[in-house]
Amino acid sequence: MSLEEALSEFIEETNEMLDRINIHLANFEKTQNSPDTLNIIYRDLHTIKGSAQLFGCIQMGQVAHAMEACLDPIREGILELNNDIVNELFNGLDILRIFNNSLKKSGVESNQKEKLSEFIPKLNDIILEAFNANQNVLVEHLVLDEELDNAKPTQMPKNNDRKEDPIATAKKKYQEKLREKKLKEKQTESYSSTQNSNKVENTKLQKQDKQHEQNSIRTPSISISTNQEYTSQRPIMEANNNISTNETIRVQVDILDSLVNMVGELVLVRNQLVQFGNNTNQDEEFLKISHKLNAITSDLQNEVMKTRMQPIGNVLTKFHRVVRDISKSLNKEINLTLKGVETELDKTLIEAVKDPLTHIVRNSADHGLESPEARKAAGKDPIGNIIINSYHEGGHVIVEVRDDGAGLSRERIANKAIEKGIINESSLSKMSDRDVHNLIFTPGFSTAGQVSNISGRGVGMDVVRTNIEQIGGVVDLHSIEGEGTCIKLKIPLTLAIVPALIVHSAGESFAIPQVKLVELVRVENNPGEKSQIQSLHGKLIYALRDKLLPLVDLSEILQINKKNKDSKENNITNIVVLNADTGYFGLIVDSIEDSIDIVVKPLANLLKEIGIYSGATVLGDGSVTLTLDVLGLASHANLLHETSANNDPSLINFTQHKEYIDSAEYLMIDLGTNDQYCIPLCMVNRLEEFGTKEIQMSGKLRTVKYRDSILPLINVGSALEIDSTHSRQTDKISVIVIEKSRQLFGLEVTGILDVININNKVDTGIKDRPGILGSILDRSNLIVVIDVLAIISDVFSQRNPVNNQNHRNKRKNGQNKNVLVVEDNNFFRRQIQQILENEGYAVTTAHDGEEGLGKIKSNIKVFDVIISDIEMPLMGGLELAQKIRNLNKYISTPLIAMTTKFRKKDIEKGLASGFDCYLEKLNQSELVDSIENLLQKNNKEIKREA
Amino acid sequence: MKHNHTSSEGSNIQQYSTFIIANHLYGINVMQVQEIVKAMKTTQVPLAKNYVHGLINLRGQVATAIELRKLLNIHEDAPEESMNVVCRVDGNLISFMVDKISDVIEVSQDEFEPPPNSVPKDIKDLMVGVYKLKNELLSIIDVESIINKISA
Repeated sequence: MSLEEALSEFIEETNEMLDRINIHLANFEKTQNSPDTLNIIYRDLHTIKGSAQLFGCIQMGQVAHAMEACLDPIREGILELNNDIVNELFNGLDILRIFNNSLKKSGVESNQKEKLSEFIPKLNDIILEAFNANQNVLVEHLVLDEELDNAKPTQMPKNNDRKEDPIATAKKKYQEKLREKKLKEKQTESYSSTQNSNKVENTKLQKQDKQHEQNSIRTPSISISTNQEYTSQRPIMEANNNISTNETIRVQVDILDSLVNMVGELVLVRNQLVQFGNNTNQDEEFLKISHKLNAITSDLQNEVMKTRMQPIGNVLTKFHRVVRDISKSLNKEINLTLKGVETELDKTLIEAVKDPLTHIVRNSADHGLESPEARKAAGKDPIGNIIINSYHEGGHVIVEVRDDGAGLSRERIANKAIEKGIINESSLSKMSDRDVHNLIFTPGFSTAGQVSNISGRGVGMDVVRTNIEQIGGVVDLHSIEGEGTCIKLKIPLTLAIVPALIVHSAGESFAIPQVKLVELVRVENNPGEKSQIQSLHGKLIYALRDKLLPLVDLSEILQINKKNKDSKENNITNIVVLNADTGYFGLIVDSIEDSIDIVVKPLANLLKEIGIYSGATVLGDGSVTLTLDVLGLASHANLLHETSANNDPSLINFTQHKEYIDSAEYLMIDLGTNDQYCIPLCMVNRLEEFGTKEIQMSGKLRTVKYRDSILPLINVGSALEIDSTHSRQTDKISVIVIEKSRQLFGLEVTGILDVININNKVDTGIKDRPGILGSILDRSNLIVVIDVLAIISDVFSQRNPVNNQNHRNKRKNGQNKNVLVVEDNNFFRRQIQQILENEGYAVTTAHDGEEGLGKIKSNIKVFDVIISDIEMPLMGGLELAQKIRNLNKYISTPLIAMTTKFRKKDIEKGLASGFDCYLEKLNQSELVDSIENLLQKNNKEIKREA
Repeated sequence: MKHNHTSSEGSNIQQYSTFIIANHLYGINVMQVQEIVKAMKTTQVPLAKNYVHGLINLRGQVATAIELRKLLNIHEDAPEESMNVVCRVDGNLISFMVDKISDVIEVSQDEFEPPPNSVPKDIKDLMVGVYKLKNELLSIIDVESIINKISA
């Protein structure tokens, strides 16, 4: 904002405030004791004073200051407002208006020294008289007069200080008096004397009073006439009628709002008319008119929109001050650069982004930028930079706040988030830096080690996000540690009219707000090729640039019937990629239409509750269309839920055991469909082939004879309820032998394909049924990971009650035995838990040594066996074992280490720490046997001791 | 009494805008009715309750069309052409779909009776009461409790 613009704004603002004070002062006279009114007057005077001094209008500042000072005792209730004071205040207002008018005309403050030297002392007189402390006045008065006469404008601030003295002393004296006497009578006495002096004053000022009585109803128009009185005294000013500032009218925002709304309606009607004209009417005259109307409406819409538009600089320029204050208090040197301040934004939106932006800027200055020393040490310019840049992009206004500070520390955020329980260790390993950075928007999160008075109260960033989302905006954060942070606000131009994408699904059309739109993908499926959209048990997934994009079909969510069911096989799938809070997802629609501007109308409550629609709009053809609420859609499709379920995924995280396993091996199997399935190789005992003739039925169970025993067969395809589309007509079947609970099971598959190494994690977020562990991405191929143990226990308990009986018999082993499993890896922990629970043990789990120890110490349960991993965060297995052995109760409790570390040295260390034995992870039979053995041994020992 | 909109003639005279659903006469206090419009193109709202017929474009405003017969548990099929009685409640435009529009009727409070107990409770809750007219009964719909019910 240039100085002229600022000045013009100041003049306008002052004018407005003077009007307001006028009205309020008049009101105050009538209503008397209304502290609110008084405060408004006080605040406005204060603002005028401040801004006036800022623009170098010293005299104006003085007047405002004197008026403000005289209100002080009244606000504090020491003094009551009397006629004289009000009169004098009105006088002051008039003087202020003279200044303001001269500023408007010439841009320079006119010299009104005589008026000042008359007004200010008089005001002081009146106040001091009201205080009944006349002695002081005379002295101070003289000083003041003298100084006023000699004063050059630059000396005025000093003068101000002096001026405050008389009133302050008077106040003090008065308060002292009150304290001394503390008698009501005396008080009334002093009041009455005040009134007496007022009377004297009244006669003195009779002439002036009359003049003011005439103006006692101080509506703006009347105050203008007062102006004229004054201006007529100054012919020079009157002559100079050229107005150097822009003519503006202040209009009620309500009127603008309804104007905008009506124009919105007009646009809709225009759209209908134009469409009607184009479709049906061949009358050229009509078309001409409709086109004219079209053009005019567009112009009108633009202009009306402009009335609400303000340059964002109005807000941004205030940050100079904010940054300056922070840099002073923190001893940082900060250089604030503003770019694109002329970018215009709807007024309500500007108001709405003000607070979030202040938060962000403060954060940048406080936490983002390092101290000059630290910057020097890092080889940066000791002067920190904050750049606020705003610009238009795709129908939105982008405001970027960029600093070249320390950036966000993944570690610090992660630690904090784990500490606050927002995420856990295992989900962290899956998160990208960006995901971690965005954690700072989670409610209750604050990274600042120390709470300062500038920021770090822990309510910052989540409020920023909520506020921005409330106005339909989006917050994005990008940070590189050591280099800086950039926070991007994407704000719609206006609230009233929203650009939206119209899509069709099952014959209905829907509007999707463009803010949430990421991209449009059109997938063509050639019949011969493998589909790019892969299904994971009914849930569709598309590998978009090597990232899994969960897909939802709009018609399925809305439960509307697709008219042509084969549209998917129609070779083309239209995907609208949308941004939900927690991630992207793809919405499958039948067709995608244009992007148009819509006026969003609110829905009746009963429709809002469905949670999928954010509003409705009238399209060009007059039909009503529902606007989709993207977040609501996502949560309806359980996408949000699934991502949050990721907090406890059983992903295979081998990174902890890098010494041995960098990647995991998976057995690729064919289930007779185009989808790819695999089984973690570590679960597989053997691969076998049997002739179909070998299959014998045992009741309903298919079995084969295998190694002197009977191997029950489970068809994986039917267990997962997969309809196989092709089968291999051979007289042999492929069987994967799995050992579970010391029993062998055969999993029958259509074919065994390959063993592959995948250096990726299993995404357990995307699955829909037991028997599926999750899915894994191998070079953009989606492979479904089968949870074999779950299938066996699932299918088997149903199909073979006899065997179930066996299980129950076996369960006696583990009956009443409490086992604690301490394992940080979700996959293993769950597997171990399942194995043990099948054996009938009551299993308690802990994610690390510390949690485990806590559970032991909490004494809720007494554990009979403790199984622990060795390498864990916070507290490893060795430390845990030592600590457990230090507890009296647990001196002889069986402690089993489960690990992949099998070096002699490790085992020795483990045994020394107190473990009873070392087992390989997921070797089920060994695990179950060892537990039993150890328990028996322990029992015997106890008996022996007994 | 919720509906004490007094007419100019006297305190016990009420005016009702009446309409017919399945040969029964119903009425809504005339002060609550904004306008009556012919059936128009409706946009369906998937996943909404069954009595929500859809959304209609009422000169640029979006109104929610409610099928009164479903709310009142009338199983008889609706005629092909229906009418909309549009009410504005708490800023929301609600359009009740009815079979036919009848007259605006003035009735006196003397003829009023609360709905008989034999009426099922869920439907009774949606009614203010019944006026005994010469030839038939006029059931008065309680717009507010309908709104409350469907918004709950």
